[in-house]
Amino acid sequence: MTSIKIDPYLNIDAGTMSPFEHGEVFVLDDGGEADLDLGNYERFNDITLTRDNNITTVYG
Amino acid sequence: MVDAATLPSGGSLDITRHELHVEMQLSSPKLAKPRLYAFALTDQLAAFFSELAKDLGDPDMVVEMQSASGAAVSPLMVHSFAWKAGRSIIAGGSRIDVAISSEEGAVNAGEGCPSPRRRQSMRPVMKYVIVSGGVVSGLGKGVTASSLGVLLKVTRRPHTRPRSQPHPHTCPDPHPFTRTLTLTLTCWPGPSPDLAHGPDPGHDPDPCARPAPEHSPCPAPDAGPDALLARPRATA
Repeated sequence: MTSIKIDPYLNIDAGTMSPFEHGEVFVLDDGGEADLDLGNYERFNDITLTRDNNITTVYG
Repeated sequence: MVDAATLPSGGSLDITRHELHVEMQLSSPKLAKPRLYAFALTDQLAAFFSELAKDLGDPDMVVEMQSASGAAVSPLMVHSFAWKAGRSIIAGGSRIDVAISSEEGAVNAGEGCPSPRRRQSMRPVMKYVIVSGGVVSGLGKGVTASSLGVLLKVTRRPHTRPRSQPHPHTCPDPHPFTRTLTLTLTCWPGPSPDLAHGPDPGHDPDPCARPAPEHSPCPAPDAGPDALLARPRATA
């Protein structure tokens, strides 16, 4: 059982956005920068997520 | 193309799939007694074929696996994928009948899946729950998905298998999380064998040393909710 967060951003994810656009960043165990939500999923489900659990739309 | 069904039978092969290996027993008029082979699921067929040829008395014999459609199965295929219904072995111009069975408890993750390809695959079947709410925030998509995750994790925990026959002569499970789940899910709402040890079994210096308490056994897991509710409630 794992969780994947799919964000509808194009070619960018919460980790690479400026703090003015998105706010805080959650750093995963493998160094992936992602949305804070992934921290909640880790805690709530007692799992460890990686950068692969955070997907965004790729365009072009 | 050789139709395997028209070839003379040259013996039989019983395949048993285990979790990590496949076991095959070959019976043939050319063998004094049946011969047993075992290969890892990740081994290729080729090694088995050459053994088979040697044991049937002719190392140069052409051994081939044929699918139900008549196609030759590559000898580089691994055992995990190769043994399916309808496959037969052709060895030196005669057919070896193949029967396949699974050992109880073997991984057969695709069982019950509508797709035949999935049923025969040894890979676990991934299932997805998608929670969508477009770009709207605060609907509870995350909470919904996470809560579903918690429920799935708890219900699939092997420790929560209903303990229909309590073991009065074995030590209670020392793992507190396991115990909590077992009590909650299998013995609710009746008295639990573990609770009868006292209010705090964690401080019992040697719970195994004491005789098991009298208690009514948990109802059978398939007894239904009525049987659970009919049991006497725990008294203080």
